[in-house]
Amino acid sequence: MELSYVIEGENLYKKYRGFQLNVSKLQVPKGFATALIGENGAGKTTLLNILAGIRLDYKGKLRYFGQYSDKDREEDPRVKEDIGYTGPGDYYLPHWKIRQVEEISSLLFLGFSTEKFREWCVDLNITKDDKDREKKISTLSDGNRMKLMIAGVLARDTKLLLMDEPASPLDPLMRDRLCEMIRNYLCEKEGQRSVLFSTHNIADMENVTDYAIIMAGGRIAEAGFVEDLKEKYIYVKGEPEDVKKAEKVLYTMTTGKYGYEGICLSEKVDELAGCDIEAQTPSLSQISVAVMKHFSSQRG
Amino acid sequence: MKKKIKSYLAFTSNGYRLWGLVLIPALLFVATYFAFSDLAYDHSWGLFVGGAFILFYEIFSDYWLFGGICGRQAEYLKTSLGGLPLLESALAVDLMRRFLYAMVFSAICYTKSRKPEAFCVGLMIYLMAVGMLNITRYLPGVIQQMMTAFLAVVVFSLYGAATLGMHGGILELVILIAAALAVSIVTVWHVLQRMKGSYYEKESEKGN
Amino acid sequence: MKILQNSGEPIYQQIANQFKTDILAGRYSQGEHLPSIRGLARDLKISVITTMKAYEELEAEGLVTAVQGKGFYVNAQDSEMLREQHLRKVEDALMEAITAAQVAGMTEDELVETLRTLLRNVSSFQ
Repeated sequence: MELSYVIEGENLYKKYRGFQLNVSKLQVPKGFATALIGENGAGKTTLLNILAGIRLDYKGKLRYFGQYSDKDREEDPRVKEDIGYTGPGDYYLPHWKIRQVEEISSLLFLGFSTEKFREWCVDLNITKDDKDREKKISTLSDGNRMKLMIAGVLARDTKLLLMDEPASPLDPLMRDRLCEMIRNYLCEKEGQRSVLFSTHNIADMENVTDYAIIMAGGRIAEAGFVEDLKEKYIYVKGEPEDVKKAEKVLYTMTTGKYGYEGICLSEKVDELAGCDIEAQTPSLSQISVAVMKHFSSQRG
Repeated sequence: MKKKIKSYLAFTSNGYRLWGLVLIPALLFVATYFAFSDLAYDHSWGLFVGGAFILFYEIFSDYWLFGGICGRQAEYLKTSLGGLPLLESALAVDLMRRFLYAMVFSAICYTKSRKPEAFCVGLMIYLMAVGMLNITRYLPGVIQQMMTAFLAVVVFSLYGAATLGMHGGILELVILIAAALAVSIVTVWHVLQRMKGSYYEKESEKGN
Repeated sequence: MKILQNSGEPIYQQIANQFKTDILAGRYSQGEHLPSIRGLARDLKISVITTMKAYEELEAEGLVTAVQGKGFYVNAQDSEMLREQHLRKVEDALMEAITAAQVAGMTEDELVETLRTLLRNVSSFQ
């Protein structure tokens, strides 16, 4: 498999009060959906803001689409034209009407299709008729506001989507729909489009996650293709008498009357030789939790 | 210019276009023609009374247009390099619209009174309204904006009462025009500066 | 194609196995293209990397070839290899039977006898 990256970052650094973002190497593979996973305050939003170019107070090098620097991003309109960003907070001004979002979008982006936008608005149940387009942003529910942002970026012809917590405000049905939209987006231009999204709902998004970047304490604690991570880590269950031995090997473990279970590196599983164990492929959420816990325990 | 007007119009809702740009100003102009301009003929304070209404409307109506933009992030505008130029165009055209309306007020008063001070008061309205935007655009609520507009009206009226009959000189006109130009530039620059500043973290914001 | 999310068998393995069965059974002709990676992911509602891994497995076994930018197409299946593939399957299944027999405490003779009985029942086997 020939792999190239849609975003490459080096020594990204930003300090703010007690918080520090310190990413020595960032790679987002081209043609895939990448999940940015981490606790609150791990630096996901900050990183996404930096990548989207709506925050400029950082140090470090960035490369987009294999050819543009972050300086190009702020000078050559084509770079941001190709990036669709959705985020929480003051995204659209709260007193704008849906119709204004449409008009402003068509002025901001050459690739914005008013027709497509309207289709998405109807499709995602944001508007039913023309009258609904006079709805104010501040009167929309969180879910509808999220859907409107998604409609806004899908109505454009982009190569990269950066989405900050797209699943959080959505109901389970809509989350499923979101996964479908991401797959469709990737499929439409086979291999040319990429998505990077942050999420707390790892389980809901696992079926659309190709590559995972797990953040903790402002750093990248683990990154890789999900299928590779599932081979790198292993889920182990064992007998109560081996708990002491297992403690040294496992990243995280829970113990109970009938034994212990937890996650460890596959290469370390040999150290449990002689113990009676059952091994299993872990889920992405299990891996993420293990990596985050391991990381925070290491840093005290 | 066509694109600039388009940018401005994109910031206006249908309600604002109808009520804010047409009906309410028309009502104020009609009232000016039939009531205040007559007062202006005999007593200059008619200019200040009529002007006070226009002033209140000019400050307060900004809430529907830019909605306290200095206190907002408006991240969407930053996702395109066209975002800030779009905002700049909208802000500039908005100021031109305000200037035009102030001058219409002055012209209506002038047709009856034939007093050049009508234009001085028109310029003062513009100056005061635009100057106040630099404060009201930080206020997130309707009530706060309305109170501020009201305060401005009181100050304007008191000033008018205190200086009755002292306006209308050529020098004053020149100074007022220069001041109007300066305050326009500063006001547009101010909002853009705020927007550019929001690319960088401020201590009052959440940091994650 | 049926994909079971919780079967214990990795999803990529399920996909690879079904394609393998289809290819070996001749349901794909030589030179025919497999569905695009992202198209298949969309249709099966799974991640792109999962279908990609399934295809890579098929490629490693020599069943398909990847062409840069064009996707995967089915190789000519030579009959010797086909037979070998099937033989391996038979071995795997018998191995499973042996393991089960050990758990059940069957003797070697009993196991062989069971196989013979089964063979007699399947009249078509000659």
